[in-house]
Amino acid sequence: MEDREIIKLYWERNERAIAETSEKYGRYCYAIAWNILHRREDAEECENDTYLAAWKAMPPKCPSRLSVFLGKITRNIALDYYDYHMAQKRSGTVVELLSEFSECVADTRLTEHALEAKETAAGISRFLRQQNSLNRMIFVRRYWYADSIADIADRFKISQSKVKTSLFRTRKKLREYLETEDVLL
Amino acid sequence: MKEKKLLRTIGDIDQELIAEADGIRVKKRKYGWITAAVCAILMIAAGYAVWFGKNTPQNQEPAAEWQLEHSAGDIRVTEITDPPEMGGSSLLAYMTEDELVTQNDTSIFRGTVENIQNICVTSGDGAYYYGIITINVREIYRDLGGCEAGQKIRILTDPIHLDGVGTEDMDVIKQVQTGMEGIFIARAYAENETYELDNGLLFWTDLADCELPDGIRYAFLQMDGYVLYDKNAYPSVFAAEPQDLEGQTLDDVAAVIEKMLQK
Repeated sequence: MEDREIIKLYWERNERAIAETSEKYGRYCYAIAWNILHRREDAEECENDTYLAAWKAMPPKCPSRLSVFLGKITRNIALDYYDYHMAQKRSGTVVELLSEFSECVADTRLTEHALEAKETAAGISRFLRQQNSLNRMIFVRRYWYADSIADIADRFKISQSKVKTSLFRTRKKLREYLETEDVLL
Repeated sequence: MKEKKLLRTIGDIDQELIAEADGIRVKKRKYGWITAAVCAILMIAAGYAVWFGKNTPQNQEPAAEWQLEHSAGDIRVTEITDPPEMGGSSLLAYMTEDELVTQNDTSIFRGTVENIQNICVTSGDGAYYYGIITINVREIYRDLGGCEAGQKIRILTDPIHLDGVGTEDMDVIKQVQTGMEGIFIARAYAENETYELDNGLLFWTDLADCELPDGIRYAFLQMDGYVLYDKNAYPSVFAAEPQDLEGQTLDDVAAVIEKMLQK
């Protein structure tokens, strides 16, 4: 079913919307949750919570890209789940990602408040558009989709060391960008 | 925690960027089905040569198919003699020499190269190429994989061109030859470490015992009168001027490594 037809079902409050969403994007949402949580039961719970959140959001939301809309919901739910249930274990993908980010934000003037501002997300988008497409996609796959290094290497058919270096260099440039773009409040 | 905030904020980047990264999955290697067919042709040709000419001047060894103990599904591993050029480890994340040696998920050992093989792993339409270097271990500096002196260890790498033709990127490991002595820093495979292929699940231990994190910085090879290694990565090894580099040995490298491990 086309995305616009699925969205229409949500707007009509037709419960078929959930079934159609599950059929088309269930695996996609599950994969995002799995990448973050690495537990089947937890990832399934996040997937189901995504459908509930989507049901509550539409209407009034009418996303232009349903996949990304759902993916964002799943990602946030999974990160919330991680914070609530798993953060104390200090292991897994999220710990790796946070560790990789430490070089972006450690010993800088960047404040937490600045980092969470919408303008910062827009600035990061501008930064990413300045990178070449492969480096940009590698960065997004790692830090938005939480893919493993091995999965990214497989997706783009490059070596894992190339993935690691791409990420390292992009993080370094991101740090410089965030500092020079006055992302401070 | 700023790192957490950044991770969350990245969630709000433009949706076009998110969609772009999801829309691309590089198709199987361009060699894909062609190479699977080439592997099959090689096997047929090899069988033909064996049938006709055990005594012919140019015998071909049959492309031996490996038996996989743990892997499941439609996976075939065959030995090949002419692997494709794979490109090198030219883009690497920076690490200090201390970090390269002391990172705690690798074993460090010294030994002699007993055998070098190149293999093609096929599953469905996918084809993957690797080199397998068998090392007769002489000495262990740090062991995380249960290896002992006197054992043989198989290391997984990118394919090795046995005709000695170098590659553009000059990976150290690609200069390896049978009979050469070296010191290797390798990550041991866990028993349950797997790789999902098109039509099967590959257990890495079916191919090798460990892998080099990259082909440049994790090997030191004893050449004739000098040691081949990444000088940029290890500035304190052989810190002398170039004219003093004659007579380098792996003993000198071992001394530096052992000192780093003791810290």
